Amino acid sequence: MNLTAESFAQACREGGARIETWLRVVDREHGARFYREAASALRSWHAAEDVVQDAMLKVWQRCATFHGTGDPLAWIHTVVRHTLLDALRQRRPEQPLQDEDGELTDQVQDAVLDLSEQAVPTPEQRLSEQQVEAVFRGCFDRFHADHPEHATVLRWVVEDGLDNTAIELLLGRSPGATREFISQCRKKARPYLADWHALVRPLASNPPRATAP
Amino acid sequence: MSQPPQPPELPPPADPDDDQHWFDLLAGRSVPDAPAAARAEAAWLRTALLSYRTHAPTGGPAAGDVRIARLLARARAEGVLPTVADTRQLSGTPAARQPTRALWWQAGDGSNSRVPRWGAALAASLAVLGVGVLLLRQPGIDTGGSEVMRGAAVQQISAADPAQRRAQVLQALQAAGFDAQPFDRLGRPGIDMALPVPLPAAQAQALRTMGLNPPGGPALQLEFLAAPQPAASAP
Repeated sequence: MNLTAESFAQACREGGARIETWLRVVDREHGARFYREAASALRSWHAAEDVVQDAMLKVWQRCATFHGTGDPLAWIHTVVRHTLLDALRQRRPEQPLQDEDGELTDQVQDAVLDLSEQAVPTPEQRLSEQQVEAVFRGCFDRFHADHPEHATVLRWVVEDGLDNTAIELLLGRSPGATREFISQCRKKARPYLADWHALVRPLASNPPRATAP
Repeated sequence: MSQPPQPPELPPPADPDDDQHWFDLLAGRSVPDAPAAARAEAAWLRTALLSYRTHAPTGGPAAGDVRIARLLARARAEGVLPTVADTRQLSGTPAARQPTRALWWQAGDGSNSRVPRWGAALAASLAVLGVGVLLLRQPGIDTGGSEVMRGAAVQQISAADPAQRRAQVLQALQAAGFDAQPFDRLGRPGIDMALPVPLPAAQAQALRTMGLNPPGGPALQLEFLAAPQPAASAP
C-alpha cells in the first residue's frame, strides 16, 4: 500500500480495515525509527512503545485535522514527537533557572559549581577524541536528565534542521513562546556543557565548520 | 583551607536575536550576520551532536507481531477500530446485535438489560433532536445561509456569523454527549470530534438532525466559513 495523502484521507473517511492497514504498514515500515527515537529520549523501550502507540491512536482520532496536500508520514512523525515531548514534560516538571530578580537560582549555581568540580582534564592536556566524546556525553546526559524536553528538541534541531515553525508545531506554542523556548534551550544547556566548553575552548580559534543536516 | 574551584568561564549572556542566530546555525542554516561567538558556540555544539548520536537503551522494541497486536487491541479499545462484535453487527450477524462495549449513550447504565440501554439511547436521541430543533428555531441564527458544503471527514459550514454558529453547534454537540472540541485555524473557527467506529445509529441520527453527514471514520472536523454577502439589489 502506498502511504499517500489520498489513501490517508480515504482511511480517515472510511475507517475500519483501511485504518488497520495503515497502522500495520506504518509500524512495519517506519516503526523502528519511531520506537528508536522515543527510546533514546525516554531511555526505555517499554515507555517508547507506549508513547508511539499513543501517538498512532491520536493520529487516527484526529486524522481529520490533516490537510491533504502534505506528506502524511511527516505529519505522523510530528504527532509522535509531540506525544514524546508531552511524555518528557510529564516526567519532570520544568524548574525555573532564574529567580524573580533574574538571578540564577541557588540550585542552578550549585549545579554549575558541582559540574565544575568534577574531574575534567586540564585544557592544556592533550585529549583524545574519545575523552572529548566522553565528557560531552556526560554533560549532555546530565542536561537531558534534568531538562529532557529541551535536550530532545536540541537534538532534533541539529539532526533534522527544524526551523521555528516546526518547533511551534511540535510544542503547540505561539511564535513568541517558541522564540522564548529556543532562548531557554541555550540558557539551560550552558551550565551543563560548561566542562565540555572548557575542554574545547583551547581549540576554539578554529571551530568546526557547521555542516548541513 | 583551599578555595572552591571556580566554575569554567561561560559564554556571555545572549540577547534574543543572538539566540535566534545560534538556533539557526545549530540547525545548519546560514546566518552571515551572526556574531563570531554565537557562530563558534553553535558550530561546536552542532558538530558534537552530529558526531555523538544518542545511544538507544540496551534491548529493543517488542517483536513486530506482538507490538502490532497490542496496538490493534488498543485501537479497538479506544474506538479507533471497530471491535469484532461491531464488525459482526455491521455485517448483520444476529449473534452480534448486542454491542459489547460501552458507548457514549450507554453511560451510567450498569445493567446488562437491553431495554434500559435502548431506552437511554432513545432518550439521548430525543434530547439531540430537541437541541437540534431548538438550535434551528433560535432567533438570529442564519439557518437559510448555513449549509454543509462537503460531506467528507472535513465538513464546511457557511454561516453569516461563523463564530456564533460554531458556539451554537459546539454546545449542541457537547450537550448530546459528543467528544467535540473547538479549534481555530487560519482565522476559521472549527470543531474537532472523535467518534466511535462504527458510529452508533443514535449518534449518526443525531448528526443528521443537526444537518451533518455522519463520517465512516473515527473523526469529524467542522469548519465554519463566512457566508457570502447577498448582492445589492438594483434600485
